[in-house]
Amino acid sequence: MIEIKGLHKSFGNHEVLKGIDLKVEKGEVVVILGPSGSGKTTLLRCLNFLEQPDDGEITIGNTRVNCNHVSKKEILEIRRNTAMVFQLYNLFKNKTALENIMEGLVIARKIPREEAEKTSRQILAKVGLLEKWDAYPSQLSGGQQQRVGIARALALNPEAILFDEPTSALDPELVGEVLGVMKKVAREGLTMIVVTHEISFARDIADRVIFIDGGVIVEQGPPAEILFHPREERTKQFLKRILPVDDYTI
Amino acid sequence: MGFQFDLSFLIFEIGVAIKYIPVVLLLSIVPLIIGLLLGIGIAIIRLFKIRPFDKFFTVFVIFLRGVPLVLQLTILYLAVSLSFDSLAKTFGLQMSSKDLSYTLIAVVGLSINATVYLSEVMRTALQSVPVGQYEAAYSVGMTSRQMLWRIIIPQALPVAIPLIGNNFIGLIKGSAIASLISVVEIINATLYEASGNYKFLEAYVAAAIIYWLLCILVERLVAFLEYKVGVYGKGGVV
Repeated sequence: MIEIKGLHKSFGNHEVLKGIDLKVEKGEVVVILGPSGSGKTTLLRCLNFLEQPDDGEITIGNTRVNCNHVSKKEILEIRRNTAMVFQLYNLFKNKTALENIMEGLVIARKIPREEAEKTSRQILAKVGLLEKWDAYPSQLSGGQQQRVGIARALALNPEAILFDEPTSALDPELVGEVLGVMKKVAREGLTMIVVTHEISFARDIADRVIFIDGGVIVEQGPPAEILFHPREERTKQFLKRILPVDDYTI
Repeated sequence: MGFQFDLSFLIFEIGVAIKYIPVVLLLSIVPLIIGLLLGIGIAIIRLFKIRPFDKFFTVFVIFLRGVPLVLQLTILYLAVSLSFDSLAKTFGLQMSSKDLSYTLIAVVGLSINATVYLSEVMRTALQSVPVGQYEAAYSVGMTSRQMLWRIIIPQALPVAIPLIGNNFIGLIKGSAIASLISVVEIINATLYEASGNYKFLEAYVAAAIIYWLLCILVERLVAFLEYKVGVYGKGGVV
């Protein structure tokens, strides 16, 4: 379970997050939508302290931290309770696909190498890339790299996986394979927080859609409600821009 | 009197120079190793803004980079040898400036110089690793130390090695400056042999040939290392 209370974050004079309150239940798939600059990526990055929030309280699993005075140890604990899938994949370039997945297990969590390798191979098979286990990231396509990225996150068996626009950097034809893996993960009951522009993913997979604009949550609810019957004017305007009219079938 | 180049004396001088290669290696490899160890420390301190040392080393680097090596060495040499006698007296040591090893002073001076340049090399190399690699390492729960050793430094090395090689060549040639503070290395040794017959041109050319050979050797070594550490980048667009 994840709980955020009164999360604030500024970059210089620009306040990006103006008090976010959010609760995500175990196994819930939450999609965060919002225009660029609305703070959705910052929110995600605050959850594992890739950005240091200025104020607020974050609870992930059994770890609760107050962002005003958070210790290095607490940050490490929060990070070990979460995993992240990045827009630009960020696979370790000096490691093979298998090593990328094992790294967090062996080094950060001190799991014995053999056990970690067994787990990693299983997960690599799950994302359909077992035969690429010894390929370096530079030898993989964007879609394959992102699937390894998801496998790396999965292997950590975290409280939640944070997806930061996981398909935005991909060629359109490669988006499908990554969304496919994400759907598979969602069905297994993992907690997922996904920042994306893929409306189809939000519509088909999300339990809840959250619309963020100007650093606040404008509205949230089930996808059918938020995507097709939004109450707020800002949500309507945003959706009008990204939803093709023909896509209104459900 | 016409121009005469004494080939047999040149060959004799090359033989003399070869005997002093170990001195050049001592004056360049020791500073290289010290420079690398201290340099990487300084680079990390400056990169991660570890207070208050980061400010100190920033000034340290700026200050020493702006002074020619020849001045660094001679100033260090004069300062140490002039103050040594009174310092030895103060501490009750039975030593005088005559016991000072000029080679040691040269090694210290060259090491300081190497540290300054290599810290900049390491900083550049560490900064060349995309920030996403740092973030990914943090996101899987690594500590800063684990991240540096397992992810960042291995990726910084292919960038750093050609630059380290350049600096090593610079150190080999810079060690010649130690001849100014009476260290007997290749130049002083060959000049000494020529002081009887005044065939200085042959002496200098012999020294130049040996430096040249040393530098070519280092270049080949660096190219090989560069290939070795960069293997993961092959076979695709990095």
